[in-house]
Amino acid sequence: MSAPPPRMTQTTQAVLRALLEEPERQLYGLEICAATGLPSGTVHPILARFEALGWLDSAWEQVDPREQGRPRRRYYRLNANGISLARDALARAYETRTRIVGRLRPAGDAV
Amino acid sequence: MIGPRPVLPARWLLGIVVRVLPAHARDRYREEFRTELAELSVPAQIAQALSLLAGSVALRTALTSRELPTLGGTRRSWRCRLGRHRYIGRESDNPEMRGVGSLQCVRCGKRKDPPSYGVMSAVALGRGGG
Repeated sequence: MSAPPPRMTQTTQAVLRALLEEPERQLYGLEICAATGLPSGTVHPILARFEALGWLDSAWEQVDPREQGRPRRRYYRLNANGISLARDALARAYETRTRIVGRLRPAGDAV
Repeated sequence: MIGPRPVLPARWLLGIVVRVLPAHARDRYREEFRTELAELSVPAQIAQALSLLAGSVALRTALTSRELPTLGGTRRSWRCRLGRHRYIGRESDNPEMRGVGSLQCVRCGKRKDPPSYGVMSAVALGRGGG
């Protein structure tokens, strides 16, 4: 059984767009915050949900912290399935927003 | 920990954040957040740690939810929480159901069938309100 399509907020869409900018590139938390303009406290719960949905893979950076002189980072990247689902979800969110705004415009159309 | 350490207030705030999280995720997020904090200036570390603290409950919810997670579902309008949805008519996506449609809340996206169905079926079953 396939998962129902996720309902997305503006912040969720911003995170998805940042991850889709260069889908093959891995990003870590601060880079995603910089790309979206959102604080870490907003971004990490969204990333955790994407991971739970199976759209996003995360892994520790493969470096020697002693050589780098800094601790390793946790990198995130949309997997192949996630890329296609994310694109669909963004397109659907845009379509829904357009449809709802279009329906709200004519006076007296709301139930 | 190798490399620069976050300042004490940031580490203290981070300790609270990590304690909010479920036990199985604490080590991972402690390391991940400490790495991110260590790359920032001191004022930014405090701001970042406060932001993480503000988002810690949402992160915990995302990590512990047993149901299929939905995106952005943690911030529902208080009106929707009280069942005061604002429904608008929405045509069905199914071409065979043109003209039937459903209702969708403009705030939270919740859908429901038009109320006439329920009333009609209740009347048909002889359970109409009286």
